[in-house]
Amino acid sequence: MSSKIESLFLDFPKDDGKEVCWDGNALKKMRNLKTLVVRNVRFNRGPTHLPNSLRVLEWWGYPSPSLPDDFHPKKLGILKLPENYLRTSEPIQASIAYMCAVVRLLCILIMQFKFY
Amino acid sequence: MSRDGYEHEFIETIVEDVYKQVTHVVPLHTADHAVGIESRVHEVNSLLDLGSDDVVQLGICGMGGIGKTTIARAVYDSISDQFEGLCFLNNVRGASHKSGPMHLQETMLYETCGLKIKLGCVSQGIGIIKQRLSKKKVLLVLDDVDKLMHLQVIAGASDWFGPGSRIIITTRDKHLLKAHAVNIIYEVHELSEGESLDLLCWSAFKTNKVDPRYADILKRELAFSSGLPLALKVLGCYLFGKSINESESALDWWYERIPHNHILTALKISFDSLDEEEKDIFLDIACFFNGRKLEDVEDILGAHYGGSMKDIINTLIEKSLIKIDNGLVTLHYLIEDMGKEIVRQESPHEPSERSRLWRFDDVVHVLEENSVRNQLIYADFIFYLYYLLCFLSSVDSTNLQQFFSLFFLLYNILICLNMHVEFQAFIIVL
Repeated sequence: MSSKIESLFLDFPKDDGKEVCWDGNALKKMRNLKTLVVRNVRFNRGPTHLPNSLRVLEWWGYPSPSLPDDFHPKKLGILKLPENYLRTSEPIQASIAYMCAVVRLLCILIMQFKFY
Repeated sequence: MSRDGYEHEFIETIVEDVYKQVTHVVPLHTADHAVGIESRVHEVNSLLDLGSDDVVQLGICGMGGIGKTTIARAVYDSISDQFEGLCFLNNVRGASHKSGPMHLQETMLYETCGLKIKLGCVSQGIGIIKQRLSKKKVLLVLDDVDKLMHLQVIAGASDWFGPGSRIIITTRDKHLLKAHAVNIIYEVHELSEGESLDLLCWSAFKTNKVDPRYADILKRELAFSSGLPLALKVLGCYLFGKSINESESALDWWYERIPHNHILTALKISFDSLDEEEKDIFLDIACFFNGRKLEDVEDILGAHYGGSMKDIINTLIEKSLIKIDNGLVTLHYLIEDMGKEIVRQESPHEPSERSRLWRFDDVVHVLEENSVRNQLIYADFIFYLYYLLCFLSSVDSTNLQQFFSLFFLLYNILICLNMHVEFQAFIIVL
């Protein structure tokens, strides 16, 4: 139903402290989004999905370490991600995520052990 | 200047100094064909009482589109050679919205006394303004002010400026002037019928002579525009290159829809004459790009629509809907409002049904809709907290296994609190 949206333009004064708390899924529905510009707005997390219809993507302070896996825009004309949190060292990133998962699993195991 | 410096450097400084003095006198660009401006400038000048040594604050007020800025510019041009420091602060409302009141002070200090400075706070700026300008005869124009605070930080009191200084404030809000104790107010009135006709003809046919075949249409357009120069100009440009029948039927259609005179009607007529692509681009500019660099706008729009935007932007300029000012794309606020209103009307209550989103509230509404994250996190958090409490009540400090369990629980709570990945790694190392 948000497929009508073609342009999202978020540009506010610098020290306005605008913040968006979202789950990262909302862009998935915008199948016709062509322009996405984000300046001076903080997002609590990055998008889980970016529409492939995008032609202009400008996101200052892109919050997550990588672009979504299924993002394959064919007509992208402008891509700007200044001041981002992208990681170049992918393997380390992956290993940290892996360790986190292991630790969580361990934790749950130990808890099981204690209570039952 | 040091004595043993190079001669060419010395000459360069002289040239720069002279250049700065000379450019002060270069007039600002006023409207292409300003009708009725001379008499108005004359009236304002007589109100300014240029002979006296007092500091005079003058307010120019009137509704949007009536030509306040044009008059202020013309006045500025006509008297600027009589002052030591000059500053024309364009579009205070828009500028302060983008970069704050300190930036206004910085611009003003730079323009009046060439002082390049980065201010820490507003009161510091006030101090410097007082110190630098209290002996100087300055001409200061504050264009389109909408907040009392801006007046207070830029021109708080008459004793900030040297004797003979003149401060001109243009605003739509008369109360603002009264609140700031500006007693001399020039109210801009609509153009008279003759003047209106003159401007309309000029915008439509680029000449002063009225083509008698068009007389009827012109008369009706005059009624629509109710003497507002902005509306006259836009309507005139709309007529440009149109046949009589075409314009006649468009006016008929509009007259039925909206019988009373309204400036928005006049602007909408012009908007409706655009083709689809031009409409789209105009709406984009109105919603997003007022006051942006032309190159950036062209880049983004070019990528969005896939193609060169030059022609379409030129069409919009010809129709007086947008202007290019110092390399920036500018729209009159009435035209901007009209564009935004058109987009808003696509779906007045549900922002996710509109084609363009620019207001923060609307975007948040769309992005955070159905956002389950917060509830989830809290449920998780409470769950772990509960386990922790269970642990603490039965903890036996000699039991190493229990100690580790406790540690992992704490760690999980941290995860729930959405700690940064690095921090998590840090905890693991611990």
